[in-house]
Amino acid sequence: MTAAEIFRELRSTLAPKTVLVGVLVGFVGLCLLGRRAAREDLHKDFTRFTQWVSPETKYYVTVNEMMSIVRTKAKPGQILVIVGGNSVFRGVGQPPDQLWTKRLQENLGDAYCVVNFAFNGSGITDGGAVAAEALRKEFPKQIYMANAAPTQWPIPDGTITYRFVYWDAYHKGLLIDDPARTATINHFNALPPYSGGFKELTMREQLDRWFYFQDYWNDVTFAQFNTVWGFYTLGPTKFLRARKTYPDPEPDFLKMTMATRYLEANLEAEMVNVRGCSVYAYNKDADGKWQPYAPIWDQFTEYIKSTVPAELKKRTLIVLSRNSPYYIERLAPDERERDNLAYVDAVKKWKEGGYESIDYGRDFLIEDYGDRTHLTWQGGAKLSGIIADKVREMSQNLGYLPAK
Amino acid sequence: MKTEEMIVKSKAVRQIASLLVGIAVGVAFHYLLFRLSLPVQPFIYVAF
Repeated sequence: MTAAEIFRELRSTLAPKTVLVGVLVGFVGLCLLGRRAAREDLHKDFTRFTQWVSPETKYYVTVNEMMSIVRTKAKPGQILVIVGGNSVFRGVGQPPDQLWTKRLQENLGDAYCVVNFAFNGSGITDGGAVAAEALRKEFPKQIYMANAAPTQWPIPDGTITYRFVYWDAYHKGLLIDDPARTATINHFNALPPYSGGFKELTMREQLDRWFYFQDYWNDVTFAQFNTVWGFYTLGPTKFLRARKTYPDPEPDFLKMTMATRYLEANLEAEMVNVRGCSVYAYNKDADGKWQPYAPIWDQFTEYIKSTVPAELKKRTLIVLSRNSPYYIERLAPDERERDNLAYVDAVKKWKEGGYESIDYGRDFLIEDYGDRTHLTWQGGAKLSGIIADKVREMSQNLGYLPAK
Repeated sequence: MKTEEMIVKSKAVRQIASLLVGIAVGVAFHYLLFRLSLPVQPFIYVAF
């Protein structure tokens, strides 16, 4: 029997109107289940997003998933502290039980609820920033923080990899309508590389607004059986194994040798990265003193004006992550001076822009770092102390705590 | 009587089979919307 014959046979056997009703029942049913999944917390005992729940393995976390995690974790009256940023804040090289945000939670105590929504390679305005903004009315006592490098231009709708979260929230009507931010987003998305794939992304998110396919199939993939198969840098996914059953694969830097953490073969490339934090931002004047290179700093100052809506700036903490002394000590004395200036000046610019900002790492030891930029859990514990002090100070200034 | 019963039963089976086939198509379409709109390549994170 050929395929055409099978199809003819089926067509004559089936009742067309009932088939159509079935199609509607199946499709609309899953849309409704998607809406239900969007309100449920799949990620019980959430610590952080692993690579098995990230775009690294084609799992695109929705803003509703993040909001549900917060609703489960945060108790009424607590000050919500959402941590965004990149792999440094995600705690690469720190096992889950030693994660720096766990130490931060212990440092801050029960008056606060710390949630780590950082992703590898994400920026200030990605994932966690969007979730915090979407939760601004439900949790008005909130602090959002993310780490960054000096003069790193923040794009308001996020980095190319992670901007799907912003557009997910945008099409679900969860974000503040801020004309200044919209203008900057339009400016970026009209230019390559940001324009690449943007139309497809917005089309996907517009459809998802109605059909909730992301929440539904993420629920299935995470909790029931895998639906996004592939071979990833971590290895292949098991055919039907639910993502929730994969353990957090993060290794412990402190169980690795220094030679593995600070690979000799990478020294040159890492020095380029370290110099890259300041080399384009300063020039020497006639007296041999470093002077800020105006085009870079002016552009930076202009962009941070619209990174987040004005009403959210005061509760946003930008943390500038310094590099390991292993590399800083290898810089020439004038390069070291320039590197330090870049952090000091960037903190100043963020503050002038209406944000809170600090840097860390100047007094950290080589052992506090697992590599050029990521911290060991020992360094993470130090960081948590610094951040906890700043969070308490911000909470006082924002009126979250009773006046002293 | 038996023939009438058989006709009723076969009609019911036809309706149920049609409904199930329809539901399967609806589910597949919902999954296709999800799967086809995912980026083709995963994000490859390299930190050194």
